[in-house]
Formats: sequence, structure tokens, C-alpha cells
Amino acid sequence: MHGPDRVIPAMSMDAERPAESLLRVKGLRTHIDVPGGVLRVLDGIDIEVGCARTVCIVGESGCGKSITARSILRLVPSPLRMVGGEILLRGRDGVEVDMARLDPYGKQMRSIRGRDIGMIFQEPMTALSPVHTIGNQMAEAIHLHEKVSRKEARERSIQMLHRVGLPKPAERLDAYSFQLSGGMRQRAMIAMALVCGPPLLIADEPTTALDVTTQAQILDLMRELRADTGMSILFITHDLGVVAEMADEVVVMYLGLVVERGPVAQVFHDPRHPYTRALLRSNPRHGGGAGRRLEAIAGGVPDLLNRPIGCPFHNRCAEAIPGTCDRLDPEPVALGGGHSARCWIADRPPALAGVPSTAPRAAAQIIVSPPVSATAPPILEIDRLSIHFAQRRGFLRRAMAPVRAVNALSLAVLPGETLGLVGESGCGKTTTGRCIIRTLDPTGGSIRFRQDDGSMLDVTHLPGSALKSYRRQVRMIFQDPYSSLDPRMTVADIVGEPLKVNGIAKGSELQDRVAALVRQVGLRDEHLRRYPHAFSGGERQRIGIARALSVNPKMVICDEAVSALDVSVQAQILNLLRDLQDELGLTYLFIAHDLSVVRHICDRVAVMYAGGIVELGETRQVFEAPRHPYTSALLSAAPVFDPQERAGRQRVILAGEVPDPAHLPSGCPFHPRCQHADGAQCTNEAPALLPRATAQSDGMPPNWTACHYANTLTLPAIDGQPPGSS
Amino acid sequence: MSDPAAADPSLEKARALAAAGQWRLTWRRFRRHRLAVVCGVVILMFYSVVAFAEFFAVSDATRPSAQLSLIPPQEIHWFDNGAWSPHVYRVVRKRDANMQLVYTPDPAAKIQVSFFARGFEWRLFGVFPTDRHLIGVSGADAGKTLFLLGTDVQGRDLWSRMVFATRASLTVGLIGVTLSLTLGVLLGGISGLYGGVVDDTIQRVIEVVRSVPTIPLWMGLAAAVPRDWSVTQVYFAITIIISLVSWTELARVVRGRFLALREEDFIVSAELDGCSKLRIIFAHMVPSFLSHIIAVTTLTLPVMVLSETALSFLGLGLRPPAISWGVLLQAAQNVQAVAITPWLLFPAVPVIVAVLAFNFFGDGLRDAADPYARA
Repeated sequence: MHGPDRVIPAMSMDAERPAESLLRVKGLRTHIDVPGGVLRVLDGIDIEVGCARTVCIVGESGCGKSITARSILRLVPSPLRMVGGEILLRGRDGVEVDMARLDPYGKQMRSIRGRDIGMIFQEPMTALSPVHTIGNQMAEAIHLHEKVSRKEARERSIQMLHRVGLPKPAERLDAYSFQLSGGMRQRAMIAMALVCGPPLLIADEPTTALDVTTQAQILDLMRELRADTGMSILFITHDLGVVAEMADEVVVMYLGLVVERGPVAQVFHDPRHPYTRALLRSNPRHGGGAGRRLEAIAGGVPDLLNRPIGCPFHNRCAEAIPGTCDRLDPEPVALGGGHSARCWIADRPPALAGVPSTAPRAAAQIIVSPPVSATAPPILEIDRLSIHFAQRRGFLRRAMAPVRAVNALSLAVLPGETLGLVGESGCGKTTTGRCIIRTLDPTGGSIRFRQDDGSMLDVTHLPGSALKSYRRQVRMIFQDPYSSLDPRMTVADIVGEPLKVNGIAKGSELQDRVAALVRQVGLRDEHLRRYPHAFSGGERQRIGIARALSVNPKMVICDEAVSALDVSVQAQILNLLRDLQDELGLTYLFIAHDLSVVRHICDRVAVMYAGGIVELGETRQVFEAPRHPYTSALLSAAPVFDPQERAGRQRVILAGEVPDPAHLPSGCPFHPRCQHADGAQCTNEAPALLPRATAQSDGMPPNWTACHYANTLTLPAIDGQPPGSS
Repeated sequence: MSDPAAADPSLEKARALAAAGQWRLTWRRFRRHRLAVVCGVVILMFYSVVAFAEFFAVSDATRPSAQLSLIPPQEIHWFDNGAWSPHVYRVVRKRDANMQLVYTPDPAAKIQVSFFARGFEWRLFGVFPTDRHLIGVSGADAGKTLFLLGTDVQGRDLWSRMVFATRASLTVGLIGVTLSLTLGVLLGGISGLYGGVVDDTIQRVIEVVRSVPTIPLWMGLAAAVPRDWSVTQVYFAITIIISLVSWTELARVVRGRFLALREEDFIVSAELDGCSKLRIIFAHMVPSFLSHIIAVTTLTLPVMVLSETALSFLGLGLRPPAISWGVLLQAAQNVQAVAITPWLLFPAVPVIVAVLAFNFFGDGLRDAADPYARA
């Protein structure tokens, strides 16, 4: 396309659409002073947001996305300081103001924040004041910028709350933030940001803390509001799925630099920076079916202190050119149509095939996992398990309705399989996992584990010493790699602890086994005497895995084991888990809320809702031919990875919230939110989990479904694909 | 970037940091807290005075002398005609027209002052006899005196008395803290570990203890100390009385840490690893809050010191002939003392300095105590 002499700064794209841009950021630099130097947190960011456009900033944690948003708003917390650049905002009168020159706390800047730029944050609980009502906070926002009467401010607030879809807005106006659910809080936050009608909304990970069905509601709302008001959105996220759903244009950031930018379709289908390509490929959602090995990016995002010389990505880049990429920092290369990439080989067709949008994956990448023998007896049998927590309130400790976290859950885990347990927060999946490993005691039902000799061990009420030997066979990997490792022990001590306390190995044998384990999870011997604080999230998770495997378990419970990790690191860990399973014949119970991860790694999936399983079946079958309305809604709420598909797609938007486990609805717990509920049987009778075959079953075993109408409903599947097409 | 890593000093440093344990990380963070480090040095100096009080004292602090009553502080003149020769002027005692005692320095009579001088005999660590002192007058002579901070009503050297008072006041703190630490960790640990009825009971007891006004409680308890007890007995009784109240704070901290740690993933995982309850407590939980305990302890010490001072000042704590900061300040209770003999207020200075030093030092320790806190 372009020769190397066509290397021109990306800023020239300003010339292409000068009139319609609302916000232009040029060469934004924000630094932090450290002893002996300066860390360049933002090192010359250029962003342009056109009128009525959505620009998504995407990147892994530590890339400077949030700092960019804060720098634009002139709200950088010290010791960070903005050292240069221009932030040109077109005011309502059409005149551009350079916000970089304004006093960050001066009158002019304050009048811009809230009136010209609205903001929403990731965690609405902390962004809203707990001591003021929603109405007070909204009225304050109005009064700051406009002279209106209190009555008028109140009316406008009610209108705005109504507009963001908050039910009963007049009542909610006098509610406090803690009285609202997460989704409602985020709606209130959006209402507050938009109450003065700002032409630009900056949203910093607004849906990251929300469940997938709530996320779908909020994303829909933001799209609607944008269409109605014609505002522009600067949307910051780490989730490429959300980008594909929302963006007109994408800005990919890496270590404080914009490495690629362009219209969303071009960036997704013809990514020109190796980092963008790698990000896209490492995402399990991308075209993903089970059995495929993810293409992880080597290593993790480096610390700013150790920023590589030359192109900051060269040390993780598979396509780096020795002698060029490790010496010289490339300039952005314009590729036409507003697309540019900061890479020495941006204008060459990628050596590794780009990411085809809908083409099937290359056959070589498919690993056929050993088929789970359907006839093998289950390794773990859970029968009508219930876990209730008694609640007592007040001075006299009066008994309240118990929290029914898990209700009569039955499940069998087959040896050698990966069974996914998926559901939204509060559905009881983690409680179930904790109960299997017996850090929680069940209220009713039984859990039985198959011993080596084939006999079933009843672990429901197993006493101390027997529990200890059971816990050698069933191990757990935790979600948070930071809190799950004792910071005061070295890696060798952490991994060796189970061997030591169980008296399995000691002395030099212990050392050898620990070293072997550490190598098995992809760490090096020199890491043994280091402490956890020296490791990144992904490396810590590897240590956690080595600890879990140290006593040769048969089954491992992975409780959201990858959800705290960045997508490139997540891919490394998922690959590691899969390799270890093949090598050691492990059985995984994989607890997760991320459907794409579950779809990628699991052989079978159990979908949980309100403490029970609503659907259970082979992964492909569940994802492509769901039989329960909740499964279908959950699947359609997940962002689709392809920006071209978002237009024609029909989604089931679930109304309402997950029920309070202390006050579960009668009959089918899903009936208040279900579009197909009949008002009679669904309200009164709880459906049993039964195998329900349909014509679509395609020769696979039927899904087990807890729905009265599973046989008759026609439900959309993920991606809207007809079953069996991928 | 082939591999210049081996020679790179910053990488070498990062490697060392990676293998640094809890105490080294704590030390690194503490060092950055300049004020706390300075206060740490001040505290060290205080305790060296405690250990070698006799060495720092100039004269016997207990022998009264009616002739030397209420002499103002004597100024040391470091040079004599441009030559290094530290000396003080002899004071001359006279009564003025109002029959008031007046001491005037006599520039003609110089008393040489020397360091590491010989003075009264004492035993180092109670074993080795010596008569060396940090500062003293050359040649033992009844007329040659050195009162750096003046004398009290009974003619005793205030400097020497303050040195001995430091020993009493700062050890009351230490012994009291040890006692309340034992009580606090034990009861707080039991409370946090077992929960339920035990926890409730201990917490209610703590609330009751804390709700009792401290001064009347001390007064009551101090009144119960028999008058005929020896100085040492009274001293121990007072430390016990003070620590009976102050253990509650520590117990709460320990309980809180136990409760917080019980929920931590790494404790759950230690349980899943098959660790016994004792091993979980001593190998996983205690190391992770030990540093907090140390910090809280340092912050309790000044409370102890102040309590002792307050008690003795009110005449409820240590009684003469014992010497403590509070006992010394008793002499400065009336307005006359402040007006005519202001040097009697000097013992307030070490109280303030010690309490401030302990507080800043404790603050620095507390900030450094958890080097793993994610900012």
C-alpha cells in the first residue's frame, strides 16, 4: 500500500474531518516523578472524537486508559501531572477551547465538567455519595451550571431518570445509592451525567462491575441515548466484545501510547498492529469453539519502570524485526480511511494471517480433547444440595428469612471432563464450589466423591482427618491471585506447604518436587526463592496452580480462576490449564461468569440461576441450542465479537434483577423475568431438571433443562447462528 | 536488548527486591519515613539513658542538702580566654533585703568541668564497679558542684534526678506494655478465633472496662495499694494498674486482624492445604499481623508514660523516694514554682519529647508495617 517513506504523523487525519470533531486531543503527555527519573504514563496521546460518534479506548490494565480520561477532564491525581499537549473541545458556540491551558480547578474548567462533558465511572457505588439522595446529587449538578428553580430541577431530574429507564423515577429520586441495585445505580449515574445535556460523555469502564445481562441493558441504553441526543461518547474499556458492540472508532493503547486507531470494522478485520492482532486472537470469544488452543501473547504488560527501548511492544511481539523494533520507536503510519498503526510493519500485509471475521479456524489449531466417556461413572455426585444461611437481625437476634444460596442442586461431574458452572453474581456458584471443598457445610443433600477403589465417599459431613485426605484429592484455584498467596512466604514455601503439612515429602525430595511443579506451570527455578510481590497477576495464578497440583489431586475446582486477569494473560492460563488436564488427566469444575471462557474450555456446562441449575448439557449444545429461556437470554446478552453483526442481531434483554435469595419467587424462580411464563404452572410449580430432547439435538445427548416449556419454545442461540453451523 | 541484563545494576536491585522478605520490605518503607527514623534514634537515646542512668547522672540524686536548695541552672562556659576549658562559676549564696535566698555566680571562682570524670561509685549492669560519669567536676570537693538544671527544694541535682526518673518512667511503660500485650493478644486472639459466645463475652468485658473513667479507677486502685509497701512493690502495682486498662485497645486490634485474616483467600487455602489450626495461626496468621502488633505497641507506650506521669503527678502513682517524671513534676504543682523557680518545670520536656517521639515512630512503623498493602 504505502512505502516506508509515507510515514506521516497520524495527526494529519485531523485535516480529513476538521469541522465535525468535538474533542481533539493532541500529544497529551502525563508523567509521574519517581526517584531518579520520570515515568511516562501517557506519552503523546492523540484522540479525536467526532460529533455523535462513539470512540472506544481499549487496552489491558496499566496501559493508561483511565489516566487518559482523567487527563482530558484535568482531574489527574498527584503525583501524576500533565506536562504537555492540547485538549481542544468545541464549545456550544462552536469555538474551540484548549482545556490543557485552563486552570484545572478554575471556574472555566469547572463549568466545562458536567455541562460540556459528562462522566460515568466503573463503580457507581463509590461514585455516588452515600449520604445524599439521588435527587439531591442530580439537582446539585443542575444548579451548578444553570439558574433554575428547585422545582424545575426536580422535574428535570425525574424526567432524566425516566429516560434512563429507572422504574418509578419520582420515588427513586429520594432514594440513596445503597438502596438501588448495581444496574439501577449505573442508570442513575448516567442520568446524573446527562442531566445538563453534555455533548460529550466520558465513560470509564461503565459496565465492568456489572453482570452480563445488566451490561447488555446499560449498553443498549447508552446506544439509545446517543441516538436520541446526538452526543458523542468516549468509552473506555478492556473488553473487546464491548468495543465491537459500541464503537464507531477504536483507539488501542499500549504503555501510554496509541498503537492503533481506526474505524471499528477496519481495526477488527484488518488489524495492522501486532498488539491489536494478538489481543483479538487471545480472546476466547473470537470465533471460539471448545478444543481450540488460544494464541496467547508472551509475557505480561511491562512495568513502566522497565519500558522497553524502541517499540514498547517488541519484547512480546512475534513479528518484531531484530535491529529495528528493539532500537527505534516507530511513528504512526496512516493507512487511509482514518486507520493508522504505530508499527514498523504496519503497511505490510500481516505475516501471520489477520483475524478473519467469520471464516472457520485453521484445522491445525484444533486440538481434539479426549472424549469424555459418557459411560464412565461420575467422580463427584451432588444430590439435592441445599445451602441456607440463617440471618439474624437487631438486638434480640430475631430470625429472618434464611438466605437460600443453593436450593436442591443435583449435579454429577464425570472423570476427566471440564464442567462449567456458569451464572450471574449471586446465583450460588461460588457457594456450591466452597461447599464441595467443605469450607462451607451444606444444609441438606449430599456430596459423594469416588475413591480409587470405586467406592463412593460421602463427604457431606466428613470429619477432620478424613476431610484432610479428601482435600488432597480435590483442590481449589482461587479467583484473586493477590490475596490467595501468603505474601510472607517464598514461592518454594507456598508450593511446598501442602507436601510438608501432609507429610508427603521433606528435605531434598521436597525441594525437587517443588522445583518440578514450578517448571510444570511455566515458571523458572530462580523464581523459587522470590516472594509473591515480585510476580504479575498471571504468574501468581501459575503459583496458585502449582500449589493446587502439588498433592496430585484428581479434581480441581477453578473458582473464577481467570476472571481477574487481562485477556492476553487469561489466554496463557487457560492454555496451561488445558495442557495440565491432558497431561495429568485432571477433572475440572470451572466456575465462571464469563461465557466466552466457559465456551472455550468446558466440555459440559451447567447454567445456574437462583441457587439451582436451569440447564445442563454439552457445551456446544447449550450454546447453540439453549432450551431454557434464561440460558438464551444470558447468551444473547453477551457482546458479540464482530462489529458487523451487531446491527442485524436480535437480543433478548432481560428485564428486572436477579431475585433476592432470601425471598425467592414461587414456582420457577425465573418466572417474574421470563417472557414465556404462562402465569399459572410457572408461578406455582417448580420445574424439575429433566433431559428434554428436541429435533435440533443433532445426535448429541439432550440438554437437561428445568423449564416446563423446554420442548415447545424456540429460543435464539449465541451469535444468532443456527445450531451446528460452526 | 540481547542480554545486558546481567550487568545492569537496576535489574540486580530488582532481583534483590524480588527475594526480599517481609522484614526487609518493612525496613525499606520505614526508612523512607524520615521523621520516624529520627524519632527512632531519639527513643534509642532515651533507652540508653535508662540503661546507663548512673553514667549520665552527675551526682547522687537522693542525698538532700539544705545548703543547696533551689539553685538555678548553672551555665557551662566552654572557653577560657579563647582556650578550650569548660568550666562553671561557683555560686555564692546570699539573702537579699527581703530575706530571700539569692544565688549569684562568682566569675572569679571557676570550677573545671570535664567529660568522663570521676564521681560517685556505681556498678555497670549491677556488676562492674566504676566511678566514671559522662560529665563531672574535676576533683571531688564538697564546694565544687555542677547543677546543669539547678536543684530542687531539698538541694538535689535536678539533672541527675531527671536521669533516674527517665529510668523509672520509661520502664513502667515497657513493663506495662508487655503485660497489656500479653493480655491483649491472648484475649483478642481467643475472641477472634472462636467467635460466638466467647467473643461476645470478651467484647462486653472490654466495653465495660473502657467505659469506666480512668482517673477515678486509678485513684481507687492506687488507694488500695498499701502505704507500707516498698518502692519496688508500689512500682509494680502501678504498672499492673495501668496495663489493666490499656490491654483493651490491643485486644480489639488483634481480634480485628484475626477476623479479617480468617476471610483471606490464603488462609482458606492454607486450610485446604491441610494445615492444622495451630499451624494456620502461627505460620500464616501471626506473621501477617505481627508487624501491626509491634506498631500498635509502640503507640501504646506513650499512653503508658503519660498515665504514669499523670498518676504520680496527682500523688497516686510512684511516691518519693522513688523518682519518676511525674514525681518530679509534683514539685512544680504550685504557681510559685513556675514564677520563681521555673527550672523545676524541666521534667516536662522529656515527657513531651518522649511521647512525641514514640507517636511519630509508631506512625512510621504502622505505615511500614504492611509492605504488601496495595496503594
